Amino acid sequence: MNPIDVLPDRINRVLVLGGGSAGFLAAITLKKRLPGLEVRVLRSKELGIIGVGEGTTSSVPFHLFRFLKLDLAEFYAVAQPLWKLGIRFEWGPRPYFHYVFGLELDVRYKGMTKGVGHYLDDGPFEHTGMASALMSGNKAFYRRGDGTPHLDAERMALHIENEQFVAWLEGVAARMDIQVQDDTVVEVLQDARGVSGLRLASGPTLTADLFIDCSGFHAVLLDKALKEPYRGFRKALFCDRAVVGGWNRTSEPIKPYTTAESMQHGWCWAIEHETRINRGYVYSSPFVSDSDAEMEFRTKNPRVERTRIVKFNSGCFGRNWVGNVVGIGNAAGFVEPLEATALATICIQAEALAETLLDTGCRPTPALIELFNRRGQLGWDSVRDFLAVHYKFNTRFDTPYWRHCQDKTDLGAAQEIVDYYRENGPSGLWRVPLYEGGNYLAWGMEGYFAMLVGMKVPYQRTYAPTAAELDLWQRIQQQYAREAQNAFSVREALDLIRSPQWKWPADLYANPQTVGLRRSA
Amino acid sequence: MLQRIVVVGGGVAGCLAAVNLKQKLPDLAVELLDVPVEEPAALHTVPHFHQYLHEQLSVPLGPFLELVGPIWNLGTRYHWGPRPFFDITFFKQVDTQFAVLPRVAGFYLAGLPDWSEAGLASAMMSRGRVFARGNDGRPQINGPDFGYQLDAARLRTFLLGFAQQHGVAVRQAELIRAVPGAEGIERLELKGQPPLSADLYVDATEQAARLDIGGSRVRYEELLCDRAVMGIVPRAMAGDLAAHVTLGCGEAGWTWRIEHESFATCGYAYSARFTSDDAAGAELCRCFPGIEQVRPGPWSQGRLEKPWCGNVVAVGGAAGWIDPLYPLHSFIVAWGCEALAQSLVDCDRVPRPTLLGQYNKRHRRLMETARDFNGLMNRFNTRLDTPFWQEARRRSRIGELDILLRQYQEIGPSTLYGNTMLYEQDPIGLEGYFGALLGMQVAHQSPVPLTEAEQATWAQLRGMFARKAAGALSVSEALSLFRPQPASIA
Repeated sequence: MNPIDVLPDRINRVLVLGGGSAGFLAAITLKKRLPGLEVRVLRSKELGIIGVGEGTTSSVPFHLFRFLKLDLAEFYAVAQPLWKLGIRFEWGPRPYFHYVFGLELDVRYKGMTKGVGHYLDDGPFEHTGMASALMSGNKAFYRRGDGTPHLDAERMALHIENEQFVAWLEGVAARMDIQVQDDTVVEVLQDARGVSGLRLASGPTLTADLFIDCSGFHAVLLDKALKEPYRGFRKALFCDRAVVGGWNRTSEPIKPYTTAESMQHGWCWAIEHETRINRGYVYSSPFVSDSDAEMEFRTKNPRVERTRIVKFNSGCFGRNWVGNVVGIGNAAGFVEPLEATALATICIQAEALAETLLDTGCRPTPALIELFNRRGQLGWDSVRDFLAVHYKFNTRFDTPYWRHCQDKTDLGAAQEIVDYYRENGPSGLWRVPLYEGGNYLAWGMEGYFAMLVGMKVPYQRTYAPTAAELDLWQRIQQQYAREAQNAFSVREALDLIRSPQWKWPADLYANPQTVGLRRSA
Repeated sequence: MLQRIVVVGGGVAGCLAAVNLKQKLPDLAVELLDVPVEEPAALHTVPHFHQYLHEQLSVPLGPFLELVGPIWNLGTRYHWGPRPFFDITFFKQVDTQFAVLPRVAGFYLAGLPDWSEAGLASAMMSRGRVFARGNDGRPQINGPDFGYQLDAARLRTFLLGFAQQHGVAVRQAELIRAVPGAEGIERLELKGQPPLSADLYVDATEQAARLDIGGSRVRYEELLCDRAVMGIVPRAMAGDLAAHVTLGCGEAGWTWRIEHESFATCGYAYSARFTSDDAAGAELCRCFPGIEQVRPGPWSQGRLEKPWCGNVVAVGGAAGWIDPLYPLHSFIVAWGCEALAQSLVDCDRVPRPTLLGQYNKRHRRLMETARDFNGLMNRFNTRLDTPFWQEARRRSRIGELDILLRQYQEIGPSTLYGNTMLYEQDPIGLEGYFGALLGMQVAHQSPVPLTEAEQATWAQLRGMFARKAAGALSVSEALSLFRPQPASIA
């Protein structure tokens, strides 16, 4: 018999500090799963929101439309997202390669003895699979025999402008009886449990049973008040600034993917919105001055209008749940958006918090809080390690920054995966022990193969495909190319879903994604 | 590139390894040295094992049933802990969600005084049944719902023949010793025959581990049983055929009973520190009246640090052994053979260090899983208070299951954080871990007590289990179903 000595008081009232995507996603997730909970959002103009164009992973729509069951049609109308099938990396010696949602390299076709990763030539990933072929043709969805688009939720992520996304979330929150208050916190009051209240500029002190810190980099509660130690990722990730800007689209075709372009001292994203293209050069300040970075950025993107610089310190708090405070979003941790993980991380943490409150009857107990934190740390480490692999093997430019990456990047748990690859190549046979304890964002071996094969990291084993296999592989790629030619362009797809007769398929998010919080029976 | 493999040991593990290798790598020369091997007389398996046999190795079902005579295995009935008994079954009874109840099934088991109708499998086990009938009256036989109870001698004889049919060269031999060399083993010295050498040697000699040339071993010190005595009970004395294995507690160890058609294999694993061989033998006879052919057997608990080291791979008991409180041994043997063959295919027969490293890592993980489960079973087994059991409880270690135990104690058998607490493809799963905790009546808090409506629905469900079980096929009826019938005269 192991009784809990002091049962925590039941949580009835939750206060979310911060009105960006993290704050509203946390509030909506909690209120949806626990309708009896009082959930309020305190929004402070001083805190602001990060406001850059966002990409997502395929798991974010699952959170919104399967877990939360929010209205898909309304989302498209208000938030106006575009689609992202994957990332085009202009990294390494190839012209480009892709890391897509779904499987392209970690796949074995009948008639070929090994996974696709063993059959690639030195060229780009032009028609390496369904998604690559679509991406190469600037297409969004295959056209089925009956003329309708082939929509596969597991292979669809989004580009959304942060402002529009937050505006949609605000609308959803308002209809859910989530009170939103605009004010500034002048003092954080504390007691033995953690935070006891937030004294506002306007006078009163707000109290709650549980505080969600969604105050972004300020981390007002987790850092400034509770002083939870921060675990920097300095040994793995060397970038610490980004210069960000964009321009209005004129004739450029809309790309159904995020681009990651190698730069002299970092890399530059391109995120596609309907009327705007957003770019950001993520760089390492020890290796380049702000003005030189901006010059390189502008030289390569002459249409960029005004820019701003974002400084960041990649890492995470040792615990995201401390006492009666839970950090979600940039207040919990941050990495550069190389794999667009920020929104996915928010969704995962919000879901874990909601389910924990549910299963504990709103009296969270020590082992549950420990599991929340353990899962959170594994998630952060898994992102850090995967990003480290990106930097370590990028031979595109030979500058002090990139040489530093090659020499000094600590791969963490990914070292074991890379060591295995270095001897055996892109073989997925031992994926289960290689992944033990990690992979909560479900990169899969696909992610590692895309990066390692994409950047042509050499390995010992030589497999010589037979002529028959190469011929088959050629025909498979040609098939993808043919189907892509006939596919919907982004513009055509947008026109279709905005037409009055369009209905989103009801079962689009019917099946759960593979990696989840609960071990399914 | 490997050209030639020698498997040493003609027991179950050796035959499986040889067949698996030859089937997946037909160009490989695979020789099985039928050195006599001392292995457990009976094997109880998880569902994966028969799927491995029939799907991976294409063992034909008809001849197998006829020649090996397996009895189906719905799970294990444990006479363990404070309850009269509890079951851990392959058919999910704990980690499952009934449509008519709001919570995961485990929440309704804590308060059950009696496990006899804890679920459909338990209800069938209580009645000597094995396959329930569907609405159409036909028996429902689903692969994942049952394992096998196997006579090792019959299994081995079958597999030996099967291996030969598939191109494995089998020869009788007496091994004098394995001569170490740079890569592990240089050659095998045989009695009255020239020495044998190969590119890879598979040690399937069970606990004798004849090819172990000094590999480091991890001993499971907290698991106290280090001897065993076993025998057979003829069916007339053993009672009705049951489609499950039975485990019980002895004064200085634990007992098992595995079912075969005309007899049961029974045994007692015990600690020499807490009883004598004679006393253990006597206790075995008291426990299983009518037991015959009583003999001792080896019982050394632990594992090799590196089952695959250089040019030697140990499978089965040679790689490790642990009290089979959960039938993981069969799983680990099947895994070891299959993973070896898959590895050699995948690496085009040029195994490199990281490949061996992952194989060994996975083996370690599976053995630690068995070890942690045993720790849990011992820690909360309050059935007996003899010096052995006091010591077993005191020294029990549960390793990675600690956080699972704590979550259970705080909120009950919730599936929350299942993917954080358990590694991918954990073969025991929440069904096993929560089953053990609920079965042994380990206390847990429950944030929300069961409502009367839930209790009523649960009682109805149990009634349904009982009814379905009463109409299910008995083991004997099921055996007849699978027997080839004489041709009928139309």
